[in-house]
Amino acid sequence: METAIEPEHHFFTSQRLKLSYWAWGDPANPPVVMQHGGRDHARSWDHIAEALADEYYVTALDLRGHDDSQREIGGEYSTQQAVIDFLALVELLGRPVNVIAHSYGGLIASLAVGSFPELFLSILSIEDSILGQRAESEPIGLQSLRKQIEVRRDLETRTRRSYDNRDEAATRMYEMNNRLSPELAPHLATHGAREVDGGYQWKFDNWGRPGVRRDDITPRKASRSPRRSSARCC
Amino acid sequence: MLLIVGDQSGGKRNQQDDIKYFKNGRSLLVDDAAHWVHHDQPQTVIDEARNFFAPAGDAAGGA
Repeated sequence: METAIEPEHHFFTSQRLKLSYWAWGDPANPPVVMQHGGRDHARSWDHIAEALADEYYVTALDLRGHDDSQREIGGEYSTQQAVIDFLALVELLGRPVNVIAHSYGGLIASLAVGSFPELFLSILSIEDSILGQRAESEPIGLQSLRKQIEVRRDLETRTRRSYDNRDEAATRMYEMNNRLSPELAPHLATHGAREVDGGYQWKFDNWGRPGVRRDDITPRKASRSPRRSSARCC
Repeated sequence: MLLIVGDQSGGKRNQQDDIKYFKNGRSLLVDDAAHWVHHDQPQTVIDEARNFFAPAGDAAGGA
């Protein structure tokens, strides 16, 4: 299809991935965000976006691993991450948005609206069949989802702690486990930290820490179980 | 929430049922459209979007 209006192509970073979105119309107009489904891409919306661009600032996100958005290393592609990407674009626009979503994109948008309703005006969802099927068997904990999303998004702005030298890193290791011998703490610090910008930082990835990583295997303690809430969200 | 479903789509009954999970929700069955309703009947989607979207500045009640 020949397009009448060539959209602007933009990129932003979400959860350390470079993601692509397309924009039509005047940024001063009320915003519409479009989310395509699996194995599709943002330019699938061209004819809809062009028509609405006279009244709205229309943006269409490419899902991670789709079109010009970066692929995940490892490739788990959790729905929660897709929700975070979608929310990141909405926040970039700086005001509540209208949504048009399709198929898997409808699930993503529904979860985003349900967990952060203050960011949205309305949602038009085309052929979303997934939310209902899940909600029947196991209600989705939207408050729990909101908290998990906030933890992961907070990491994007956190500065990694840096130690002046390996001895300081070893001291920190000893603070965490005072059963370590005077020889073992420096040994562990030597292999567990690397030099970054003149200081020393742990080699482990903060995004893989307990409470941050998406962990569907490890049973949670009863007291930390997320409270189930209804999926009746918006 | 406005849920749009194509009448030629395989799972339309379940999809229309999904609307019960949303406050202020309604669903619309579009004739002569399958899973990609916006490809099969673009003008319907455009018209529905214009009518449905709240004017700028309204609260989230319409979601």
